Formats: sequence, C-alpha cells, structure tokens
Amino acid sequence: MSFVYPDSLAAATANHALSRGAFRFGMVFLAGALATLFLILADRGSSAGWPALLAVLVIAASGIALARPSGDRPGVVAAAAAGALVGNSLFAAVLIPRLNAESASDAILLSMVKIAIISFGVVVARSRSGVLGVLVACLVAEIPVVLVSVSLGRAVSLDVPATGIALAFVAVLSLVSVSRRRSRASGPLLTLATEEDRRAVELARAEHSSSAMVHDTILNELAVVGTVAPGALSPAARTQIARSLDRVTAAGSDAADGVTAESFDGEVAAAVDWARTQGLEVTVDGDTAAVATLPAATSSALARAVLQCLTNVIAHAGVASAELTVICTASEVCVMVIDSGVGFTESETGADRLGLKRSVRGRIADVGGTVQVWSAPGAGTAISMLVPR
Amino acid sequence: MSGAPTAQRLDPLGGITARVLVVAAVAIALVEAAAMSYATADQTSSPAFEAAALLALVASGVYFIRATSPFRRAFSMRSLTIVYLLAFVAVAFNSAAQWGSNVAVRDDWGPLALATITLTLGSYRPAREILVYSVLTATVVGALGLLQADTFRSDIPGLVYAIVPAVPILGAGVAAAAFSRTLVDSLLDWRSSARVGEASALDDLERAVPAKASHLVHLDEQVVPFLRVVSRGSEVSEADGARARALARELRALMLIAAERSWLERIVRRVDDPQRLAERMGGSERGYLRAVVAHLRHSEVFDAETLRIALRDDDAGPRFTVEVESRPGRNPRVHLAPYIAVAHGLFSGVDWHIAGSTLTIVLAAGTPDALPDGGVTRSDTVTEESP
Repeated sequence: MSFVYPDSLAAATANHALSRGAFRFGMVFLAGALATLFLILADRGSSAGWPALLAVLVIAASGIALARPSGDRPGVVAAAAAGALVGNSLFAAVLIPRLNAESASDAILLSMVKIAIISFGVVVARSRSGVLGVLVACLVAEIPVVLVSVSLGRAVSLDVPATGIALAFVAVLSLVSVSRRRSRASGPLLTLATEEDRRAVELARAEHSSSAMVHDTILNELAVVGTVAPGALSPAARTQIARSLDRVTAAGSDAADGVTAESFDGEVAAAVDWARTQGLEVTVDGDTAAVATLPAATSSALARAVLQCLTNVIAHAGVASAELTVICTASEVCVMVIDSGVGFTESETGADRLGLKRSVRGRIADVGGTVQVWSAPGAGTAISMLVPR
Repeated sequence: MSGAPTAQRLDPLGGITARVLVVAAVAIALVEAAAMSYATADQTSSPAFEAAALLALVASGVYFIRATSPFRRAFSMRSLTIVYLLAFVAVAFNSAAQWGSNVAVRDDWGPLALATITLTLGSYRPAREILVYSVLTATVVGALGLLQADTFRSDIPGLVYAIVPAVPILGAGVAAAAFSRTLVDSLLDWRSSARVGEASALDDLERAVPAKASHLVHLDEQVVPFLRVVSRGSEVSEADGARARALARELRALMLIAAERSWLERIVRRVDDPQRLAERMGGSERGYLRAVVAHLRHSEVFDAETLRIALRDDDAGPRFTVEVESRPGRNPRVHLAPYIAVAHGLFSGVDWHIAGSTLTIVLAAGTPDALPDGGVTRSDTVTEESP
C-alpha cells in the first residue's frame, strides 16, 4: 500500500480536525465563563445577573448546532450565527452594567465568551472558508459588546486575547494551506513509486510464470531439435513442439485465469502418468483430495512444480521410483516428492540448473508458498512444497 | 500511552506541514511573554525569577522546534515531557516572580504561553497524552492562581483565580487532543481502506500486465518463430540443430541473468547486495527506495551517476545504505526533508549525514511501533543517530 497520505485528502482531513479542535476549544472557554459567572453570581447573591447564564447556554447551543453533521447547511450556519448574536447581546446587556465602573469591553468574562464565539467560526472550515467564518464570528463577538458599552458610557478597549485568538486562527488556516503545498510537493513522487513497485511485483510474477513455462517446454523442444539426427522429424515430436508453443503463448493468461480444481487433478494425474510413461514408478499417498480445494492459481502452480520434481527424479536421481505424499492442515497443503536416489547439494548444483529455481521455488513462491529441499549426496531427495489453502 | 499511533507517524508529510505552526506558535508565545512581561514589570517582585521564566520558555520553544524537525525521528513522549516540563517551569517561575505583588491574573503570560504551545501538539502526540499533560498542568496552574487570590485587586471568589488561568491551558489541551484524535482516526481509516483497495487494484493489474516481458522478448522474436518453422517443416537440417542449440544457450543465459537480477539492480546500476536482501524487502520498503532513487536521479542537486546502494545484514540487523554525490555548489539538504520524514515512518532507524559532497542515508530495516507492516525483519536494534 502507499505510505503517503494523498494530498487530495490531507486538506479536508486537517480542516475537519481543526474544526473539531476549535469547537472543543470554544466549549471549554464557555464552560470556564459559565463556572466563573456562576461563582460570582452565587457569591453576590443577586438574581438579576442569572439571565447571563442563559445567554451562555444559547451561545453553546449555537456552537453545538454548527458542530453537528448538519451544521454544514447554510440555514444552520445562519441560524447559529443569529443565535450567537442574540446570546452575546443578552450576555453583554446583562453583564456590562454589573461590571466595576473601571472595567472596559475587554473584561475577562466578556473575553472568554468572545473567544468561544470566534472558535465556533473556525468550525465552518470543514466545508467552507474558515477565514471568512472567523471574520464573521469576530463581528458577532465584538459588535454587541461595543454597542452595549458605548450605550452605557463604558470604555471600549481592544480585546487583546480575543483579537489574538482570531488572528492566530486566521494565521493557522492560511499557514497550513501554504505549508501543505510545500511539504507535500514530494507526495506524488512517493505515491508513484509505490504504484511502480506494485506493477514491478506483478511484472516479476508474470516473468516467473512465463520463465517456468519456457523451462518446462521450449528448452526441452530446443534440446530435442538440437540433438536429433538430421532428417525427418517424427509426427509425435512435431506435435509436441506445437503443443509447447501453444502452452507458452497461453501462459500469460493461464496464470491470471487459473484452472479449475478438476483441471489440477487432471494435471497432477497427467504429471504422474507422464512420469510413469518415462519408466518411473510413482507411489501416490496421503490426502490427495485436499489439492482439489486449493485456489485455481495455486493448484496450477503446484501441479507444474510437481511435474518438474518428477522430471528431476527421472533425469538426475538414478532410481526408478518416487513417492508423492500429500499432507493437509486447516490452512495449508504440503506436497512432498521423495526419492531415494543419488541426492545432491543444492548450493553446489550448476549455475545452469534452472529447474529447481524457476519451476519449483519460483512458482510456489508466486502463490505464497514455500519450498524446502532435504538432500545430500547418496541420501536421496525430499522436496516439500507448502502452499496456503 | 507512548505506543499509540500519532498523526506524524501515520502521515510524516503532515508532520512537516504542522511544523510551520510549531515555529509560529513558539514565536507567538515568546513575543507575548516578552511583551506582557514588559507591560507588567511593575508587578514583578523578583526579576531573577522572571528572567529564568523567560529563559525556560525559550528553552522549551527551541527544543520543541528542534524535536519536530523532519530530519529527526518522530516526536516522542519523552520530547513532549521535556517541552511541557520546561514550559511549566516557565509558568511556575513567572508566578514566583510576581508572588505577593500580582494584581491581576489575566495579564500573567505563563498560562497563555503554555496554551499557545499546547495548541500545536495535536499533530505529534496521541490525544490521551495531550489531555493528561494539559489537565495536570492546568490543575497546578489553577492552584497557583488560587494561592495568590489574596493579592489580587478584586472582590470576586478565589476559585475564579484558579479557573481563569487554567481555562486557556485546558482549552488548548482539549482542542489539540480532538485535533489529534480526528487526524489519527482519519489516517487509520484511510490505511485500512487503502489495503482493501490495494487488493482490487492488484486484480486489475494482473489482467493488464502482459505475461511476456524483458528477457522473454528474445523468446518471442527468435525462439518461437524458429520452432514454428521447425514444427511445420518436414525435416530438420544440421543447421537447424545448430541453431536450436545456440538458441537454447542464449535463452538459458538470459533466463539465468533475469533470475539472478533483483528489482533493485534493475533501477540502480551500482548495487552491493551479497545477501540478496533486496528480495526480502517489504512493499513499503521497496516503494520508499524507488522514490528516493527517483528523487536523487531527477534532482539537479545530485549526480545520478554516482548513486550506489549497499544492503547488509549483520549483528546490527539489516541496513540499507544509499550514497550519492551532490553537484558542486548545490545544497544536498534541499527537498530532502520529506524523504527523511517518511523514512522515519517506515524504518526503525534512520541516519543521514553529509560528508563533503557525499550524502549518505542509512536505513535500519524494521517498522516503527505504530506501523505494523511486512518487510525485512531485524535481528537487533540499531540506535539512530540524528545529526
């Protein structure tokens, strides 16, 4: 899989995360304002200020409406803005007359509510312009406070914390966008490399399959033509060459299309029959029915690997018999080809010996299996092919 | 707690994006601390504590910026602890500097600076860690405010002096935690859906990729036409026999070359891989090396002809070493950050250095804790040495 998060998703995900974070940021400030207000009102024992608590709850409801999945709708956004405006106006109208005479429009309680409203402006960033959302929220947060302060003859001061938070949000929304473009410039190359690797793996798999097929067929036919005495070629040999050419031509689609379980049985039977026609006595043992349950591509690869193992016994083992055993578990099928011939040391086999590498190891590896070879000079050979079910 | 996935680990490029915010947040925190310290100088009873507070904040900010560098390993819980500890020391010293002479809680820069830094943590650490750290510090900061309640010039309940400085820190922590959780959830969703998508993409590719490729062209162009002629003819001549033997030799040789050649040797001329590690690499490791090779090859900064890759598996575990010479007068670091950052998300150890004109990147195979994946397995641990 690709290890680079697609650029097309990165912006949306970051805006969504920013939106959620900003909503919670605002709610904590509202909770702080609510707790502070409650403590002060309870301490003073005055009931005239309690509507301010209701105002905070109205603003909180506006934020919750925006944060809900339906908060993207224009109607909900407008209603939330109106709700916050009403709530903030009520809050300012109730609170400012009760503040100390020297308190200005940037009193801490007013600031906390303004910061919450400005944060809710960022929530719209998940689907719309977050910067515009912050600007609108600034107006909703500041205008009622300024109007009430002016009407009561209170001082109007720049609210540094609220303004700072608004500028910070605008900076974050803008900086993230610019920074993302720079940092993700390498993303397409990284993604492309992953795709290329995936294709390369498939190409290698196709090459393995074709090479194994070539080894089993074409090289044999070339050997026949290269060693036969000049003169007429027997009809059987000619037919065999034509058949091999057909198999090679069809090899590409064969690996992808697979064969049916019945054809695997047919192939393994054919492999054993062919080996028997060459004079090899093959004893078949174990849970042979299990091979019919394998996926088509696996059974096909296994059948051809078995054919190569039996060919090797005939060509190199120096014995007239071999044993084929099938062992089955819940998740795997193990097929073993055993002979008591001359044996060999795998690492010392000639560089021109492609049979075991291509036709057995390569094929079984291509279908997710493993091959183990137990052999030593004079001690016979056992080749185990383990494939997933 | 430290084992939970982070957005930076799941999306290293996102970590680079967020680093701009880290730099900006640190700058803002320092400016607001300096400005508010100057504005409230009349409330400072101990200038030495105030200076120490500012220094601690500078140390926290500098360490934070350094630890989030894309050239370094992912921002760890240890890094978070250091950043928070230094910032908290700044807050505590700021309180100590005004102890007994503080007249208003809202103009204390400590909680605001700590909140500003906390806001940018979401890209680097898991939600739970951020929450725990911010709740703890908010509680202590609130307690410090409560302890100073008697000195403030106001007649409001003392608990308010605990709430006011704690709210920014708590708000920033909750926001950063929500940011972190949303990013991580989205990234994990994408990863799982990408795996499902991958399977179907492979199916398509299997049908699309031609079975005959590379060395098998020889088969198509030479061998098959020859055998067709032979199979249709009535006789085989001596020349046919010689030709068949020659074709068999050529075909066998080409197949052996193809069998011995790894995927890496197909894209890089100078590969030193005596243990055949290239064939044991996982998909992500292969994809990453392909991307690095493509970047180094197409970049004007490097001389692609000098690119060489060595793969070794020894006592320290499997390692992949990429070396390339930069062209004279070029800065090898340019555009390298994303590749180093991504490497930190894919390999258990990443070391890179520039010696003279040679850039060397050493990747220790094995996946980071948060990213279970296949690939070459390590037999031991390599200590990363970040420059």
